[in-house]
Amino acid sequence: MYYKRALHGWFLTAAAWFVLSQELVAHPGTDVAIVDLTALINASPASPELRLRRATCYVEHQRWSEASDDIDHAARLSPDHPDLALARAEYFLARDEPLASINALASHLISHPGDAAARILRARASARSGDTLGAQNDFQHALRYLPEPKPELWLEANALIAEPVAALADLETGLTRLGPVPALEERALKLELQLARTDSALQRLTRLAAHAERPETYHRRRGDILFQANRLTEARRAYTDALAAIDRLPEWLRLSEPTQQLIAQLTPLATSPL
Amino acid sequence: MKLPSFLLLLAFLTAPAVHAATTILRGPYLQLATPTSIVIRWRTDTTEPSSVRFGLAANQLTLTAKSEGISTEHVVQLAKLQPNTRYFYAPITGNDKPTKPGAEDGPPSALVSSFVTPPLPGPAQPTRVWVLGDPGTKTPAQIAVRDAYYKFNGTRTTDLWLMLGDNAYADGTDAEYQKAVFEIYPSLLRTAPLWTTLGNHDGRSANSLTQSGVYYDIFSLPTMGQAGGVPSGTEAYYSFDHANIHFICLDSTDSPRDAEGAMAQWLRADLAATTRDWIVTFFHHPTYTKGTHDSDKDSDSGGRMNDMRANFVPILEAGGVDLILTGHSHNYERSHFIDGHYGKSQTWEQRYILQARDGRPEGQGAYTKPRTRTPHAGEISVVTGSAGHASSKPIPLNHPAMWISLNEAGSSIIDIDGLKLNFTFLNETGAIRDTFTIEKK
Ligand SMILES: [Fe+2]
Repeated sequence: MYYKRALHGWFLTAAAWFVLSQELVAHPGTDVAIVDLTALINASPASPELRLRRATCYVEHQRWSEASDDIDHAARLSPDHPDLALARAEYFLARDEPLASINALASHLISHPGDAAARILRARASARSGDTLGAQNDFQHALRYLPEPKPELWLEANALIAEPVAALADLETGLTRLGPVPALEERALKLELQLARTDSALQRLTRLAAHAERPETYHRRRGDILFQANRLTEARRAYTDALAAIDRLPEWLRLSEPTQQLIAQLTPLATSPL
Repeated sequence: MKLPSFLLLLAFLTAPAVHAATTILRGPYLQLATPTSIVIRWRTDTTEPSSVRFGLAANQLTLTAKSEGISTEHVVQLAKLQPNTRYFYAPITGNDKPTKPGAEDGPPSALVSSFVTPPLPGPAQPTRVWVLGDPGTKTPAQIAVRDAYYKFNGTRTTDLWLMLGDNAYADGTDAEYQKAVFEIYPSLLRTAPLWTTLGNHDGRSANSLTQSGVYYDIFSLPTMGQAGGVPSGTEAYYSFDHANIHFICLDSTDSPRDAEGAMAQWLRADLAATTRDWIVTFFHHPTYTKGTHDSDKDSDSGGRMNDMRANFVPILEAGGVDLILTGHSHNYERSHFIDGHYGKSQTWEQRYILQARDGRPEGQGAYTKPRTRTPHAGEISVVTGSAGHASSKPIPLNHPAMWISLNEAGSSIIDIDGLKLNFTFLNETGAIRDTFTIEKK
């Protein structure tokens, strides 16, 4: 979890570079980020941001007591620091204490309801604690606040929707907002097939093929779906489409090993008697 | 209609003072170049409309492009451009009225700059790419590396440039970007599109999950395959085409790196879709390094180097990658012509070297690959993370995957001409310290 905000007030001088490179050599077994931050904390011991950043690194390495010490130290330096709640929540979640994580964020999210990073963190903690509805609610808020939600985030929220029809509708919304992102398309395809919506799945693949620079694999997948649905004439046509797409490739790509393998697989499928 | 000259004088004298005071604080800089469009960005000290004059000659900026609203952060897309064509442009600011020709001695806004749109994807065209890893130290070394490249390049057009992350130390703040990027490379920023990936230091002021923070505010990167490639849905990782080259940017810093995650799924789809001759990939964390970082250490960089090597190098190699560019280690390490090594250096074997030579046509011979895209036909992996400085201390530089390792500040240059790729490492004094060539036949 990255809740960092821009830090101001100090920057690395040539002398600090020297300190950092000294430290790096002096502690070869420790993550460089921790080594760097320790040097900077020694130079600026009153910075709560540096403590919180090092806490995040300690959390990443599961060095719990050092992480906790840094968060407590930051709290003493700046009791109202806006990142404190997130740091604590992140720490507890990493320790698999989701309820403590949710508690750590409670008042922060009352005063900062639009903090997407905090919403995501609480959604994860809620999901871990088994409160799926709470998690979905926070994810939906975060996805609404973010102008450009990331595919990973959409998928994470989508995975909480157990009912396939609802999950599929949610993916459609995601695809409309984010564009035809492969990971979302693949999950949607999987759900379509799970729901036995063969024609929807086929339409999805046809659409993907229409926009692809190399559509052959999408046609091939159409063929496989049709074949499994025992729609053999259409399957053959899809395999023929795949071969035709390969035919349109420049020779140097057509002759490549994977394409030759694909041709070898497709040819009997496109020509076999029904 | 010709106005009496005293009316023009009156208009000039009564122009609002706020306009006369407008200063461009940043840029202009070029982003998201496609054969038919480009994004021009700049920052002013006062809030004003965002407009750009442009045209096919410096003294004929007859076209205007604008964005809605008023701002100090200006983002204007020029659309419907001709591929492979030089355009001249100037942002319109308060003190640079469109009726007044741009003064040579005026503020940056008044200067007319130019760029060349990328050619249509597919056909080959000689292309020069400047590659900077970890540049943003604001030290004399960064300046020296820059000047060495400018001298090396001369009057030739740099088609595009790549920053491999850690572009502005120590925290990638806006102020640090101003000093370490915008005030160091103003002329190139105005004339060649910059593409970048997120480094761990940039990541301190940015959040990839929410796509917010300084890095995401400063750069306009493709999410919908606007510049070629498969839509990624995120600026954190993306691809684009230039002539016969497909560039892939991955986010090794702040996006999930699991082998079946969204980034990996996108990468597989993107590799399968491209019909370009060359595939060049860049991200921040090196997969093989014994420099200022150690890719054998799980504790180093939160395991990111392990993840990229174990989860992404196999996908890239199966997709026929030619060149992998990384930074993070502040040195230069260039691999043998390799394939198939996904473990730590203790598991290295000679069999991972597909062609045991220097890769130099004038030496033991260039590396060769079949033109037909063949999985696992070999690539060169380059750590070029010393565009800001080299290590001040001795570092091991003994990773067995490397053909050459140097603790020197410098930057890298890729020249692709048809089916030949020439690579150069230029140090801060302007000395060429490594070269290699890959030829496709
Ligand atoms: Fe780095």
